[in-house]
Amino acid sequence: MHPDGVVPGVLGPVARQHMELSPGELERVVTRSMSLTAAERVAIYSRAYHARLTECLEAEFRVLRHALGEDLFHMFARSYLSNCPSQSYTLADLGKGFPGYLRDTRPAESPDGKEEAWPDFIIDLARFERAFSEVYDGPGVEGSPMLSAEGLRTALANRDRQVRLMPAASLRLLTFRYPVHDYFHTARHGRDSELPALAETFLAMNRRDYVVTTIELSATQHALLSGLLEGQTVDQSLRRAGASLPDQRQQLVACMEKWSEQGFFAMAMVEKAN
Amino acid sequence: MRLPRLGHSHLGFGIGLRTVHFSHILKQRPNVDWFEFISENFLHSGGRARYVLDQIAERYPVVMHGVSMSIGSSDPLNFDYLRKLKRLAKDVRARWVSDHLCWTGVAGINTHDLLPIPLNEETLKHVVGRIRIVQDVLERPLVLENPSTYVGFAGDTMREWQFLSEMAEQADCGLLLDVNNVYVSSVNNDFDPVEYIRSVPHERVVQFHLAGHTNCQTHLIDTHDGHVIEAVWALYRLARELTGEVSTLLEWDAKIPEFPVVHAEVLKARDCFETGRVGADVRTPDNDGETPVWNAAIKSIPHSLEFLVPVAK
Repeated sequence: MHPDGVVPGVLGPVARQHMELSPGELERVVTRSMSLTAAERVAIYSRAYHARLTECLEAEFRVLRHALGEDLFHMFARSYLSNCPSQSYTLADLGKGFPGYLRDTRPAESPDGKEEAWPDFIIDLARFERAFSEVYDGPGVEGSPMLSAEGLRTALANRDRQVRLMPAASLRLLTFRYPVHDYFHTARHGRDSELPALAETFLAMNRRDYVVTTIELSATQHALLSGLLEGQTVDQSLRRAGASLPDQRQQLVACMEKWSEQGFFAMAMVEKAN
Repeated sequence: MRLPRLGHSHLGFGIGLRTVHFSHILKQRPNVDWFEFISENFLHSGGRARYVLDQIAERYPVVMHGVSMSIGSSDPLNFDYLRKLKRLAKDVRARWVSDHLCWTGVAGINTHDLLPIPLNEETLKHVVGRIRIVQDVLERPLVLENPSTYVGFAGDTMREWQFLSEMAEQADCGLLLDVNNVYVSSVNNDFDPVEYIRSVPHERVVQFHLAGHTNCQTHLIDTHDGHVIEAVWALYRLARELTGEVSTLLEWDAKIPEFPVVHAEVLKARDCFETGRVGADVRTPDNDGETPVWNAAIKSIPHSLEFLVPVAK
């Protein structure tokens, strides 16, 4: 579906690979009706394609649309749809490549030669909203027993054992250049917000009882959770997070207990220490 | 003699399952006969949508309705997709699995639209062959719907109802007769909808669809965003006279009102057959809901613009 309509589509290289047809000859293939020419009839599908799929992207990236405004969002959406047409049988995958497309087509600098900040914010926001969709409708652990804080304490009590934590299927660890979660939650509640200041932001995104939550992490907590999600033992992850002193370790273990209560971990796997 | 509805039960009067109604259905447990859901929306869902579907399937008969099978495409059938359909159908005990007579894309691309196929012997053979394969994978007959169409092809050698009849017979599949689509397509393609309704193989009709559409003056668009108009009710009455009782479903996909409004709309289908008329809020040129514009004695239903009620966009 050519973004500029039926005539450019018919004259375009993709169509001409299959059929040499001038716009005036369209009725050799598609008939006219009593009311419409062949081109007008084909245009019904063309308009519907862009309108419908743009609407789907709007539904998934609501806050991004709010941040960009309708015209700019539609421009980006149509460009994405033209360059990255859907190859999935489900519309749930339509927006999968949108954040990456925005990143890959990011302008390096504005016409006056200055580096613009807002493209990075927009890319971050798109990534956040896509992650939100995937966590919301992806695999989860509802109905399954999860590791409680008490269970974690029991697992860690035996110092002769190494402990690894299996993350919940819905848990994601995300890093952004901007605090997009604040902007997202503000906008979702119908309040306007300024472009936030640049600030490296670490988030854990999870789902519990079908509700998605985002929890902001410090750099140290991020390092700890990264290790755990990579399958490192608790001890390895604590070292990675820089917990060399007992009180530092105690603080981070308290963190893990809180995360356990928040449904971050499915279970603790206890194995003999090397 | 073939069983009516290919032996499937008459489920009654059902509603298309939509996200905006999830909470109402779970809390209120409305007295609806059955639900139809869009297969692709649930094939990969591990979230609330799938949870709600499972809850609903525990309490109500459900039917799967797909939009991506692309039975008419020249691309190979997607067996991963078919296996997922089969598994989902088993999990929720779907009464039947349906899709559309169309193609949705080629060269691996999905337009997510129901694109029309030329209607001739070559495409018939192609489609029948693919239906047989799909039915083998699903281990059940497929049910195919007539989509709304906005173009015809110079290569057409058959009318759509002829194609459907041959297709259903050769593939031994079922039909989902979308009465609104018959009407919309008849206006867009200048054919008589009554002849269409009279000519399809009635014993193979497993299900009806009813829906609203948008009048764009030079054509109609199948928007599923409003009440069913009287012209479509009249076709529905005719269809039901010919098929006998057949499961009937109302589709309302845009500008979706609260659940009771949608439910009341599908119950008009029950009323319209039992009483020969529909409710007072049916839009007619005279805005007279009590007097039907057509009755069963009329042999054909005119579909010139004077009978179409313009809808504000």
